[in-house]
Parts: sequence; structure tokens; C-alpha cells
Amino acid sequence: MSQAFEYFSMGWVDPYLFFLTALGTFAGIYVGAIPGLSVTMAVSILISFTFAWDVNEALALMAGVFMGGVYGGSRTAILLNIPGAPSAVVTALDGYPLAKRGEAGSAIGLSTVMSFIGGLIGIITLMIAAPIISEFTLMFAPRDYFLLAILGLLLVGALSGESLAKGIFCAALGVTLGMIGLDPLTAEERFTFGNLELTGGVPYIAAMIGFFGIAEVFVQLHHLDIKPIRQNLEKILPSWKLVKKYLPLSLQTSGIGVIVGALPGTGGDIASLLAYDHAKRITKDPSVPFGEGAYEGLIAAETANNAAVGGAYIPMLTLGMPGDAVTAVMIGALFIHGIQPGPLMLTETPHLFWFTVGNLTLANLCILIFGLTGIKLFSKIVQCPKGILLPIIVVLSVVGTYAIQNSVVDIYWMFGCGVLGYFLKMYGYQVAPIILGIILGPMIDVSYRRAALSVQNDIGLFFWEFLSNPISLILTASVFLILLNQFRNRKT
Amino acid sequence: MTSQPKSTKRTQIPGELVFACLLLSLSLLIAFYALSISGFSSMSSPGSIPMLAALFMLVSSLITVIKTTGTTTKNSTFITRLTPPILLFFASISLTYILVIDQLGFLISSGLFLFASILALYRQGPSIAMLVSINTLAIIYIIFRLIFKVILPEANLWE
Repeated sequence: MSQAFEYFSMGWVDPYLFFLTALGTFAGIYVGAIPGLSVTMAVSILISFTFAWDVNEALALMAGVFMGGVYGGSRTAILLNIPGAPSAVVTALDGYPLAKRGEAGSAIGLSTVMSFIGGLIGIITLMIAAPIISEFTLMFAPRDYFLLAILGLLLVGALSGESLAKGIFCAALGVTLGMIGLDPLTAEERFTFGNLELTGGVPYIAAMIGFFGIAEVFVQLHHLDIKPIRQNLEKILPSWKLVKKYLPLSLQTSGIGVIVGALPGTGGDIASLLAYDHAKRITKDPSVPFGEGAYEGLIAAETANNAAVGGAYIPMLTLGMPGDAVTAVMIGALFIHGIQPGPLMLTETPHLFWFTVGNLTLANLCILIFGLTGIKLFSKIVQCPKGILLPIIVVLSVVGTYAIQNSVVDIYWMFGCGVLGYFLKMYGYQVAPIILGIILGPMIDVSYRRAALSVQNDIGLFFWEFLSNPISLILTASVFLILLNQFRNRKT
Repeated sequence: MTSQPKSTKRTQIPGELVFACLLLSLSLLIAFYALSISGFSSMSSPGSIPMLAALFMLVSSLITVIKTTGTTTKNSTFITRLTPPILLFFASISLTYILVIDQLGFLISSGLFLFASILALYRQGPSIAMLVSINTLAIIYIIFRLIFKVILPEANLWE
């Protein structure tokens, strides 16, 4: 226990790690707030700069960006009615009417405090639940890992946008891209076409930067002329009376956020939506009707989406399963540092787990500090014209991609993925399932084939094992239930 | 007298069907290569998951083609909707930038790219574009090269 506390506090006592977490949170708030820039994009670009760093330093910076980015999305939702992130869409429903009423400062202040409470509850749940789940998952066999990866891939249903077929296509394309190179079990070449460059596989960080960064830059060129509106920002710090009044609602919606965030395929966006719906049902007498600037609506959405971050870390760290697009990219970041997130993480590298928890807590505190200060600087930075911002993103993407292997070929990969990503996005395909496929593809491949080899390629026995073992049975049932639920949701 | 049913069909973005067909062709090609890895030799063969992925790609792209075929086209062209002049220009200079970065090095190529793209996108005149480009480049160089020690592409044109 004392050792866990020692690891937990590492980021707090080391000045450099403390600085990196604070810097990450600060940067995350601004990246999340600028419409067109996403946390996923920021973390993808960041991986390439930090891959050669010490793992603790890299994790400190990325945890900060993740936490800050989720919070930052709400700022522009309130000020400009443009959600900086999908999880802030619901925030805009009541946040923007509040700003129009001249209460932008108060809305930002209250949403910051409630985001902090939500984030804290999410982290406490992560601390309690992760060791229990991790111990349980030590009993997993290769077939269970296969089922877990399939469960993760089912996230595609939530990330597909308007068409499930397009989502499945992108996920399968991602799996195929993940298969390029030498087979890890037999060293046989797959999709290399005799090209030596391809035997090492697709540089997936370059692909991520292309799909999330360059593609988004091209999409944003269609919205170059959108001008931000200036807001009057005063009285940021909320009164204790106001915080106390909304605390019970905040605690309830934090619970919703954590649970929803921990489920595969659901993230901050769905958490905030469900929390908003819950707040609407239980609030008998809102300050003003919901949708017209009700503080209850703003608080519910903001607490839930920040609580969902801690929730999303639970399956990510204990099962190696991404909860959403950002955690999928975060798993990629852990891989690149030689860390295998999953059941063994807590037994083999407990220091990294507790260090991450400590960093998330610190980043959450930084949100409170940065959120309640520097608002004037903030309003200036988010008004940075896209005509300047977009070329800078391209240069940063080039620098980040080149930094991975000092290879210009990686830059070509990045650009190619960016162009493909642009057309996919414009035709209604979502690029997040591709990344999900690239990350989970190798895990599906290896665990499936190990499971098949363990039953000497006997197809009957292979399927029987899924039903005869209690863990496999639960996971198989979960796969089918999620599938069924997704088809039902699509029909309605 | 029969009332005309209200059309609920979604409209097609210019070039959507061609794009869907291209993805279907890509799926066919991938399926062919996946099959050639190890065929159906055994359940645990290296080609099993690639074949399964290719099958999913084939089926889903076929569904998309069928669904797209039944929609009507929007009243705009591929050029105006998907590749407006500003995007074509920006994509072209981005491509030129990444192609010459190895020859000219990071500083010169990035400087030229930033200047040209800010001039075209921000439209505030060459002096502003020059000022912003130089400042941006200096900040990027100090942060990444000097502080983070990130290696940047070097010029090999004169080597």
C-alpha cells in the first residue's frame, strides 16, 4: 500500500513530472477548445514526439492532454456554441444560452468546478475497480483475449456514424493494415508485395496522424470563413452556495459518467447525453427550462463527461480494451513505450498504474486551476484564425511523423492516410474504426491463432471452449448482447 | 386520388458511388492477396484473419455500393463540393512540401510552405504572412529541436 502511494505521488513530488502534467493539461484545454482540433489528434501527434522519452514523462504529458482536452471542449461549446469535442455537444445545449444571457463567466466557472468533481469521482473509481478487475482477468486464456479484442472492435458500432456498413469497412481496413508485415508467429510475409519497407508493417503513428490530423485539416478548409463571436467574461469563480446547491446532482451524474465511460463503445459523449436526460427527469423545478440555459443541464453534461475519463481508463488499463477513439490512441502510445496494457499490467508494472492514477489526479487539479484563471488569454487563443492554424498543424504533423524513425517514407504514409481519411470523412466514413482495427487487429490475430493451436485446429472443440468455460461464456454472451443492442439501436 | 409519398431518400454526394466502387475494388484486391497468403490450409494459418477481414471489407463495401446506387445525386459537382480550389491549392503545396523536405531541409521547406499557405488562407498580405511564418518556425525550432532534441529533416540537395 505504501509502495502504491509512493508511485502515486511520483508525479506530484518530482518538479519536472509535475511541470509536464501541468503543461499537458494546459495544452489539452486549448487544443480541446479550438474547434477542429481534437484530443485524439493532439495525443496522436504527441506520441511521435514523446516516444523516445522516459515512459513516466511521456505518460505525464499525455494524461494531462487527455484530461485537459475533454474539459476544454466545453469552453467553446459555452462561448461559441461550437463543441470542441463530441463529449461537449450536450454542454452547448444549456451552456450557450447561458452565454447569450451574459452569464458565460459564471457558466464556465461552475462547469469547471463540476468537471473537477466528476473527474475526481472517475479517478477514485479507477483506483478501486482496476485492481479487482485485473486480478480476475489473470485467469484469461488466449480465446478470452480474442473475445476481448472482438468486444473492443464492437466499439465500431458507436463510432460508425450514420452507416454501420461503412464503420465495419473501416474497422476491417484497419485490421488489414495492422496485418501488413511479418507474421509474429511464423514470420511469413503478409501484404508486403515483396517490398522490404513493408516488412516492418505500417507505421501506425504516422497513419494515426494522417487520419486524425491531416484529414481534419483538409476538412477544416471548408470552414475557413467562420468567425468567432466575442463574449463578455466576468465573475468566473462560482459561489460556495451555488456549488453546494448542485452538488447532489453532480454526484449522481458522475456515477453515470463513470459507468458509461467504462463500457466499451461508449464514451464522454454518450455519458453526457444520458446524464443530461437523467437531470431532466429528476429536476422538478429547474432554474430555467432545459435547453434555455438551465444550470442543471450544464452541470449534468460536464460532470459526466469528465467522470467518463476515469471510467474509460478502467477497461484500457485492466483489459487492454479501448473505451473510445482517444483511449484507442492512448493504447497505441503505451505499446510504443513497450507497455502492454491488460491484466498483467497491474502485477508486472504496478508502478505505471499508480503513477498514471496519480497523474490523472494531478491533471484534474490543474483543470480546476487553469479553468478558473487565464480566461482572457483563453478567449484570445481560441480566436486564432484557421488560415494560420491549419498550416501550423501540417508542419507539426510532419515534425512528429519524422521524429518516429527519422524516415521521410513515414511522412509519405502520413500524407497518403490524410488524403484517404479526407475522402472517407467527406463520404460519411469515420476514421476512428480504422485506428481501432490497426490496434486491435494484431491482438485478434495472435490470440485467435493461439486459441486454435491450443485445440489442434479442431473447429468443433474451438467453439465448444467458448461455451464450456465460464469466463469465455460470459464474454461470448457479452459479444452477442452488444451486437444485438447495436442492431436494435440502429433500427430505432 | 393517391397522395404522393414524401421522399425520405438521402441524397448522394458527388462522386460517392465512384468512391464506393473504388473501395469495393480495393476489397476484392485485398481478398485476392489475403487468399494467397496461406489459403485455407488450417484454422491457425497466417492468412486466416486477413481473409476474414477482407471478407468483412467485401460485404460491407458491397452493401454501401448497393445503398448508394439507390440515392439521387446532389445538385453540385465533385470539384465544387469535395475539391474546391483552396483545398486543391493547399493539398498541392502540402504535397510539394513533403516531397522537397528531404532536399531543401526542414527550415527552408517549412518556411516556404508556411509563407505560401498562410498567404493563401489568411489573406492579409505577404508581410503578415512572412512575419507569422518566421515567428512560427522559430518557435517550432526552439521547442522541438533545441528543447525536445527532436531530429528534423536535413537538406541533402547540396551534398
